[in-house]
Amino acid sequence: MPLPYLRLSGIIKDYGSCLAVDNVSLDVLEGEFVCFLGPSGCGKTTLLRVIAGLDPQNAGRVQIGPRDVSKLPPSARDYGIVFQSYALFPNLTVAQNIAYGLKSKDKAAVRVRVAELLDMVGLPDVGSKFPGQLSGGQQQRVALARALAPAPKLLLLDEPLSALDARVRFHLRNQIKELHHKLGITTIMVTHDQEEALTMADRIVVMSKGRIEQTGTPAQIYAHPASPFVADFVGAMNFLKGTAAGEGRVRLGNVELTCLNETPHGSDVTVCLRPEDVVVRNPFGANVVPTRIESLEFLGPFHRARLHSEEMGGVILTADFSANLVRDMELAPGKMVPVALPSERLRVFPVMP
Amino acid sequence: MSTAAAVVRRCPLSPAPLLLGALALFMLVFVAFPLGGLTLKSFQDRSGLWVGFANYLAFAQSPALGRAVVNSLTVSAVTTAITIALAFPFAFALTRSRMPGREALRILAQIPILAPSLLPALSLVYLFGNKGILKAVMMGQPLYGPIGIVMAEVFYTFPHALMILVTALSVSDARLYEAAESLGAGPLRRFFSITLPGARYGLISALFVVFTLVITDFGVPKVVGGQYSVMATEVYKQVIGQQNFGIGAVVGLVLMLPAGLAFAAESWGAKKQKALLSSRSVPYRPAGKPFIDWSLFAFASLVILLLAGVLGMAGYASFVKFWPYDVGLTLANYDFSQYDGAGWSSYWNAIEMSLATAVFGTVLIFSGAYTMEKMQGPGWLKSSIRLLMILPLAVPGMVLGLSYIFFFNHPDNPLNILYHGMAILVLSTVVHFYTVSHLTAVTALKQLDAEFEAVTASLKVPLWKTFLLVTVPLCLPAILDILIYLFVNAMTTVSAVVFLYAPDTKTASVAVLNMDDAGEMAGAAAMAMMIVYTSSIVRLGHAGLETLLRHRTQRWRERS
Repeated sequence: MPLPYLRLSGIIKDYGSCLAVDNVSLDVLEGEFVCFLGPSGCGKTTLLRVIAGLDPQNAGRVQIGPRDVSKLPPSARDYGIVFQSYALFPNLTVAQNIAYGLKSKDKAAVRVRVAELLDMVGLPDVGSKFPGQLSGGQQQRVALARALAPAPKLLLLDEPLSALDARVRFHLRNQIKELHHKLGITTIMVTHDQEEALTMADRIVVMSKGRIEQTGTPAQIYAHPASPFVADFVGAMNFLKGTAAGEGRVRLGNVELTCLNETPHGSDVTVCLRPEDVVVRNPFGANVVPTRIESLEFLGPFHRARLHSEEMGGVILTADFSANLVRDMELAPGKMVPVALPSERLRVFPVMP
Repeated sequence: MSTAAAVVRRCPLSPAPLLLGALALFMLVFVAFPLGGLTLKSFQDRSGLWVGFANYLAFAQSPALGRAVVNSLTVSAVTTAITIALAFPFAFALTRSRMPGREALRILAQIPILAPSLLPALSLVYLFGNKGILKAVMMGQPLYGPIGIVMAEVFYTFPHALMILVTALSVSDARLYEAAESLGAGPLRRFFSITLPGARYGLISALFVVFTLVITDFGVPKVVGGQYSVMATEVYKQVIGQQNFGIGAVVGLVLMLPAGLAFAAESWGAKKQKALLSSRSVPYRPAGKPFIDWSLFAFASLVILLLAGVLGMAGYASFVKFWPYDVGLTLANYDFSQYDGAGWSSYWNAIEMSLATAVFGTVLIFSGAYTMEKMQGPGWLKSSIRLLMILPLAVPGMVLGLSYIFFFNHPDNPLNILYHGMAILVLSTVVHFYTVSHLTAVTALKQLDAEFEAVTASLKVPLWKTFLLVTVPLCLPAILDILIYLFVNAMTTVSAVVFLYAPDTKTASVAVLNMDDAGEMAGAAAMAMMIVYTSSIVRLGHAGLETLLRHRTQRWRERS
């Protein structure tokens, strides 16, 4: 079991007008890749800057490795950082940028190290160029090489991919992941892109309004969102209004569904179900309801259907059907289809009064 | 616990408190205290006793001072009207037409900036004075008085108004014109519904700036004002002539009103102007209309001809043996020792003062701007410093000079060793031109990536290294601009310096004033021309250096 390399306890960052980070505690294990995920203004970047010492916290402790760095300036902490803007020095060459943090006086050793880093990020021939002569993706990789040059134990990435176009982003996602695998460096990445977080992270920290909403592996976050916020922010989700009908049952319109429900009888609840979890092929079990297809929206590999259910009080249910499913079952607007809402896939949240 | 202590010792001390503290101290001593002292002085009598509003009452009831106020307002208003009437069509021609020779005309229009405000006044004396070559044009009206003041001030303020109006008119959105045209609006309607409203903030700002320049200018009314007293000469008379510091302080404070208003209008206009242009705007490209373009060319050439004529007259006069009786050419007028004991030393003083102002000022202002932009500190402290950095823009040079006398000449002030030295001239000039230079530096710094300092810290590199290796090289064009701006303004300024010079630190512009006072017009013209030559050479050198820099050290700006 690896030890926690980074430990945050009771971090509070108050900007006077707003509480940017509200009592956050978190352990990050050695060698772990953690993503801070949330909408803009959720406090994820502020939390990263607290770890970096760039925006000192008002209360709480930051521990990196064995050291309490809570009160230390950025230069006394041990980390490398890559910003969204890359912050490459435009008047220095790529090689000079990468060598910027290298302390060695031995010029040959510095040259070897720079070449090694350029190789590592897959840009062996750009050392003598200026940053302005590189593409965005190349600049991003140079920034990464510069941050890794002094061999820090902790790597902080502040939305490193958000300024790039989709194709480059996809490519770099894999490259960063591979690099992390190879170096085993503890990494924290801030992102607002759920797909990025789901594909790259060992563990995701979902944040909202300065607080941690949920911490877990990508699979846990996706399959078992801890709150309606997480359910809504990560992936697509149906939110259906209902009432609790005793242990393991909720009522929607005229239908009673079995599910994992622990809310008291009669209270208002929100029932969540992902569109891809609506079963239309061989529906069986307790939660089968008749629906009518209102519309089918073509989205390439799958169709997004709007299903109208009279039985459930006239709600509209969104469901994703694969292209071959639509073909095989001849699904079309107006057609009546019974669907199953698998009880193990339903998440029930009490409605906040 | 011992490891923590060791760690704390290893980490470098942040320079922020030290730098912010030093900056705050400078601003307090050289801006806040002197101006505070001036205000205090306006409530004291000659012996330093508190007399409440007695000085203000005396000011309000004195018929002489009342006349000076009315005169000042009159010449300022008339000059403003004429300058704007000339500068607006000129700026329009530069930005919104295909007038031939736009670049050359734009550069030539800057001629007056190279000269002290005294020069046009001297030149007018040669042109329209009692022995002037064009005296007939005056139709018996005396040059000395409001007419001379207005003519000289129009020359002096024209490039200032032009610069603001060109900026305002450069901001344009071609889409608006296309939309208006597609809706059937004719050229006149497009001008009144798009062009004029788009430039109105620039227009207001130019109005205020010209008005302030005129009402606070001392050189022109001193030379061609004659018996027509204005506020600026009145301050000088009260303080230097009659040692009446209390009244002088009151007039000085009153002079700050229009400048304060101008400053408020300026910053208000700047904010509004920004909002006019969105990132989706498409710059307006004027189509060629031969008749209009050539009419504008004729007009602009006439203006340039007048500006060049005024400068040329002073230049010519500086070489004439004995105006108007012997118009043979000579260099004898440049032998300043025959007019003034100081001789050439005032010129070298001016060079020394301008170099010191440029070098010390640039270092101070750029590091000050860097400190304000990049160092973390308490909000109240930073906003107080920022206010004191902006304040000099609203303080006329005369008022600044006056406040420096009161503050630094005070026997109890340990800093009075600065008084009567070159240091006080340099410091007052740096402060006088602080704001514009500071804003130039801030603009340049804001264009840099905000995370350079964070990256530097994460790489454990000391901040000064990044400052020297990255920040300064990236801001080099702006740094050069500041350097030249300070040098040229230090060369031409009279207003603050005239209160603060000592016999052995007299500068060239003050020498012009003194020689004119002594009736030595030829010497005054020659010295004024020395200032023009020097400023021109420095400007040209700057242009050359900029080109060189672009090719040599700014290679990184090229894209592959």
